[in-house]
Amino acid sequence: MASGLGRYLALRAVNSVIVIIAVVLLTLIMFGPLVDQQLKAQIEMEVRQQILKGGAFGKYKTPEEAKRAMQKAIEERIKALGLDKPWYIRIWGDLWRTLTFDLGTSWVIKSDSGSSKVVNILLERIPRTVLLFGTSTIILLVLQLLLGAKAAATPGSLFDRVVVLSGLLGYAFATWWVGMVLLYLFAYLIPIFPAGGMVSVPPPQEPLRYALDLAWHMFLPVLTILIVALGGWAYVTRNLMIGILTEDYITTSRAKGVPERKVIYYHALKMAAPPILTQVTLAIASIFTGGLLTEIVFSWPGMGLLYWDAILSLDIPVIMGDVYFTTILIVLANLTADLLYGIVDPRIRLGAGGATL
Amino acid sequence: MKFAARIRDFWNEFKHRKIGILGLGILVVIVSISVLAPVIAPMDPTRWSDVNYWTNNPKGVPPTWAYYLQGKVPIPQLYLENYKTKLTKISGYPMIQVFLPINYSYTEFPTMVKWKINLTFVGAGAFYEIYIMRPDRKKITLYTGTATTSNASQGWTVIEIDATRHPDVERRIGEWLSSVGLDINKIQVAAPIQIAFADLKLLKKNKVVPLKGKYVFTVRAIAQGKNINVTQFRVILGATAYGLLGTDKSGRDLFKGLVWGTPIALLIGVLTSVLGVAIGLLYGVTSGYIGGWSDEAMMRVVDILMSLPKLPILIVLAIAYRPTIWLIILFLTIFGWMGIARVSRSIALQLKESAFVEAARAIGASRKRIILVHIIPNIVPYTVAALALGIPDAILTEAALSFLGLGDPSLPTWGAILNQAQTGGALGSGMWWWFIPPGLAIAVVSMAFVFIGYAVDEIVNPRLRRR
Repeated sequence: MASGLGRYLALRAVNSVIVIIAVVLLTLIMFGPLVDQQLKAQIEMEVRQQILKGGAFGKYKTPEEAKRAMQKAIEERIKALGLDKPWYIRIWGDLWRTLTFDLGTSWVIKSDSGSSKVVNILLERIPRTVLLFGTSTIILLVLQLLLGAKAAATPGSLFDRVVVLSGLLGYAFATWWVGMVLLYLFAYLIPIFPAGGMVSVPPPQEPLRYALDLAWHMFLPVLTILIVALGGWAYVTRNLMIGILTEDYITTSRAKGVPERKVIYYHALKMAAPPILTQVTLAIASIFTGGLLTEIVFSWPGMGLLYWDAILSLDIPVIMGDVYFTTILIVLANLTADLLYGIVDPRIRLGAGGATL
Repeated sequence: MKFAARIRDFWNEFKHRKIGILGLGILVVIVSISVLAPVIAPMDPTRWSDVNYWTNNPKGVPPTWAYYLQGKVPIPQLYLENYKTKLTKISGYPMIQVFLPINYSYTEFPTMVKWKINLTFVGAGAFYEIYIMRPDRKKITLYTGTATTSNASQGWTVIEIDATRHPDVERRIGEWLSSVGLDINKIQVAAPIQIAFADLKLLKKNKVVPLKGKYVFTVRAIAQGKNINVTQFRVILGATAYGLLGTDKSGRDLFKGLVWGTPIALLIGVLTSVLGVAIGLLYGVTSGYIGGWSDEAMMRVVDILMSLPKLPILIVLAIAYRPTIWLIILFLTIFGWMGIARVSRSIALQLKESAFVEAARAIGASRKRIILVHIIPNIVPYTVAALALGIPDAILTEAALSFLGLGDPSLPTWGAILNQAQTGGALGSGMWWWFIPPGLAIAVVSMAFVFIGYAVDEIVNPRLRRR
């Protein structure tokens, strides 16, 4: 049984590595020409400044001579950087550098501490996104289990119908737009929440106050994610639970006199856990992307807002770094769900494991 | 005939499902809106992002009905064109004065003041001044300028200025205010030009209220030569409300944007979903029917594609290609077929062993024929729900991309309008009519397909049926 889990996790890990490499290769192929262009323009500017230092043609007598020297210097620099080689040869070096977190320097955006290193910019942003997204996911998981189980216990009731309907509606609304509406209502129309950001300016010094301030800023973005995603998740749990509640052993438990609460929230929920986790795996990526866009609406200074800033200023290295780390985070989240899945369902075998659709 | 009977059976089941009928009803409405868009909201949709196309509209004003709801009557858009001309001479030079009177009886300020003057002259150059005569007999110079000509004989100039927030106009109004002992920086108005319409007595008490009465917009021009003429003088005073859904900060009619966004969203959703289902169906059935090693390999590919982060990759593709709507549909399709492929494969695996496929194989039907004639038609019903549910997914993803400013820039998509609302600070300035309707539209269209998909799913997958 242990080997089954090991094999399963190993296969998922291989899959994750392939995904990461594929995404990085794709960004490199797509942005390669743009980056080259920028790099060459930068080299030309630097060389020009160097050569023309002092006097109209620098230390050269004629403009032609200066031009020739410049051309030569540019070619040398390009050769030194390996830019003269075709892209399909260079890309492997770039791939290795990206995978080892050597993401180069940004064109425009700087980190809060003033660094232009893309890694530093992202290292600042990642914890903020993880905080927002992690908090939402945990609340989401707990609430959806409770709501889904309760709806499944009384199918057809008003409560159940509300869960089903909100599940359906959840598929129809854009998370970030719901964020815009909530922000408008509760930060501008009735100003009880901040209009954006992660902490007040200046941030409170005392740790407890800081935490409260953070929670106050997090409330609306987390609520936004919950409103849109909760119905859908609860709906999935409800469907799985309804299936399980018709099984014979549940009837047996009830006949034995096990309290209904315990039947639903313990026996049935335990059986429903593996398929619920499968669904969670599928849903995590979607609420993560929804969360990234929600960050933009609430000016939450995480990876989502970084996409927005980088797109506005066309800062390609930052976009590449952001894509790389987003992929890693999604892959890690999925691997965690896979691991949990393997633990709660020891029968797991690849192929027979995943529920379809 | 058999097919028609199946459809009839299906409809008999479907019509008893309230939620499905509701979805179908919404769908009928949005398809009608799409078809009737040129009638309901006549516009060339490709000129949506052309700012000049909207230049004469009031900027950032609410819908007319919202104004009436507050119990107020909006100021209409005023086009003043019937001017009177007076020709005189001043120290030997020809001088023209052109008057455009307006009886201003509104309780609110115009949201925009724009003028267009066509000045022609014979001579080396001309000087002109644009001023306003107020009901209290005060004169405010708003703008001055000179026109020159290279050939020193004949010249013309068109003075077309949006004076609402024009720095020169603001400076002139500031000068006038200080001449009456007031400071422009201490007065709270939406636009500097509105001070020209303010009641001076109340202004001194810090109240900004329009002064009712007769205003005369005047152009005075003197030619350094023989002749001068004004062939056009038009002033536009911006309305305080506009149409059914107001305007955005560039004056775009948001109702038109909303209406034209409907066919675009439908096109994106339906085309992406249909393509995705078709590809997924073929891929899944092929994989399942062939089986063995290639099935394993094909499903690994699906696994990997399913784990790709959709939005980041779409961002990369959109930045690299600056796509048109067709390319966006193609990109969305790449991510939209794997779910169907999995389902189709698992059904194909079952059907492969079924008696009728065995029989077909026994009488020597080719593999291609078995897949196309015997397997695919039996999977199609199962894909209808997925087809419907794929549509909102595509619409929402495209909206997300457009919200990031990476959609087709020439078209009025709902996501693009929301992007402009976000960058234009619609929330902060309380312009709810800018960002509420497009998001609702996305939700309503998506809802229609979600409801239909849900109802269809219940019919074709009876094991999923819930009470």
